[in-house]
Amino acid sequence: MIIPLRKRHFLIWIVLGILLPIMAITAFINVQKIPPSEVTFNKQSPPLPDIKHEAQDEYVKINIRANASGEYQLETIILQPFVSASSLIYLSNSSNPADFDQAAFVGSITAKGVYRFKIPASSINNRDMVNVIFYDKVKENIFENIEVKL
Amino acid sequence: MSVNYAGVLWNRQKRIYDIVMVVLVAAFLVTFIVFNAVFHPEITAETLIIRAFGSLALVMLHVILCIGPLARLNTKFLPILYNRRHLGVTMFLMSLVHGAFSILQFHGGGNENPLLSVFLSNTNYGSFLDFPFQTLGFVALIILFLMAASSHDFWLNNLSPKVWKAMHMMVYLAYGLVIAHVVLGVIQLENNPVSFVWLMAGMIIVVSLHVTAGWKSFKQTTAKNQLANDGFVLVSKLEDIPEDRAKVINTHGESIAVFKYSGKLSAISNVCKHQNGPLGEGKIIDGCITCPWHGYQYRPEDGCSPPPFTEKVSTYDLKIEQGQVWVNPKPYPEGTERPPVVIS
Repeated sequence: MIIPLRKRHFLIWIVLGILLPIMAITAFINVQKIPPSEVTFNKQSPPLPDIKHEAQDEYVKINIRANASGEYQLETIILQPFVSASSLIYLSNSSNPADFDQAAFVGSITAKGVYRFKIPASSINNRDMVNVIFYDKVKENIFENIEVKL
Repeated sequence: MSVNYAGVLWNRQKRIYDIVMVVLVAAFLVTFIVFNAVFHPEITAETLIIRAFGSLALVMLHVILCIGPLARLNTKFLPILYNRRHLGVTMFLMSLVHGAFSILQFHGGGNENPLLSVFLSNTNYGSFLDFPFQTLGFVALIILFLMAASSHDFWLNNLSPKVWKAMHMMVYLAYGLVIAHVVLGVIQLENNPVSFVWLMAGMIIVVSLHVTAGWKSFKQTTAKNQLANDGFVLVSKLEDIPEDRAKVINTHGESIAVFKYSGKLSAISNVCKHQNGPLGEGKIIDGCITCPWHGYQYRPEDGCSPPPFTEKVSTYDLKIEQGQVWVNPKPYPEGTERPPVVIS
């Protein structure tokens, strides 16, 4: 390598040797205490033992799980990723979109995977069906609605 | 060394180099994927691919950046410098897999063009910690692409070694961008001190090697040489030059390699015509001075490559007085024959 190029290399590495550690250490000591990955992807509750009811379409499989104590759990298995960036899940006893404001919020989902939410027994007991509604908060529309027969 | 362009001028060393590289790359990927599949079964296949190829590219970039200074500090490392270009192109391909899967996973399937989404999904460009780190990785990937695409000797010859070398120094900018991409990306997202310690260790090794090798060169180029009345400059004692090797002297803006071989001494420019490699760190093979970087050869007496090759470098006058070797730093035109000094 020619002498001017070697000198340029030397100077570049002196500058990088100062700037890179400063940047890295500053970034590390300011890392958020709760990392975004844990905020975004909550650890899932363990599944309740019995699958009482189930339904499935191309994108989602729904299981209503329960245990001997009468607790209920909505298990949502995302089979294919949604195009929607912001997906909220609601439970409703009506399949009519006009009744959406009566639906009960359950939780939110992000990537492909399994999500479990505790749901009140009252939303299941003494009913013959329940609708699991997927709502895009950004576009404000219902993009998926699965009816689970009880 | 060739008079014509070819895709790759394969030889035994290059084949061995590439086989070792492919085996190590495969071993890294398999180990990484198996380890994570066993200990982190919740990770999806897409995420695993992104992490495996991203980690591999980062490790390879550190290795590539260490090779140059290691070879300057110790000639034992020269064999790994020989086919560094294949290592660089492979590293780019690994980065490309990481980038392509990341864009598909995080920016595909939306209303926006995925490439535009990389720049528009997070617009906190005024923030340090929330800076859109993916854009840093994207720019680094573009630089690595330019370097991989122009890595062939066709570009080296047409751009000239000086321009080509200067252009390929963009790898240092790419390295800075990659470090920023990692510390503002995965380090922020996962808050894992182990990853940070590994990154810092790699960075310290790379920076230390470059600064040490740079300091060594700086001392060599600024060393004051003893000047004789007739314009000759002291090189060293004759016995300090090893057989079939050279002593390098930097003086009067010239870098000169003085070779001792077969009872003779010759001096030529220390700068190879191919990639400005340090000829003085090479040795005499088959009667020719052989560049340690890529094997370009020059005859010691006239600085010409043996036919049919056409490269030429400058030659210099030498003399021996009282066991000491002196060189005249005034160069002869490239390819000028100068009779070797016979060691009596």
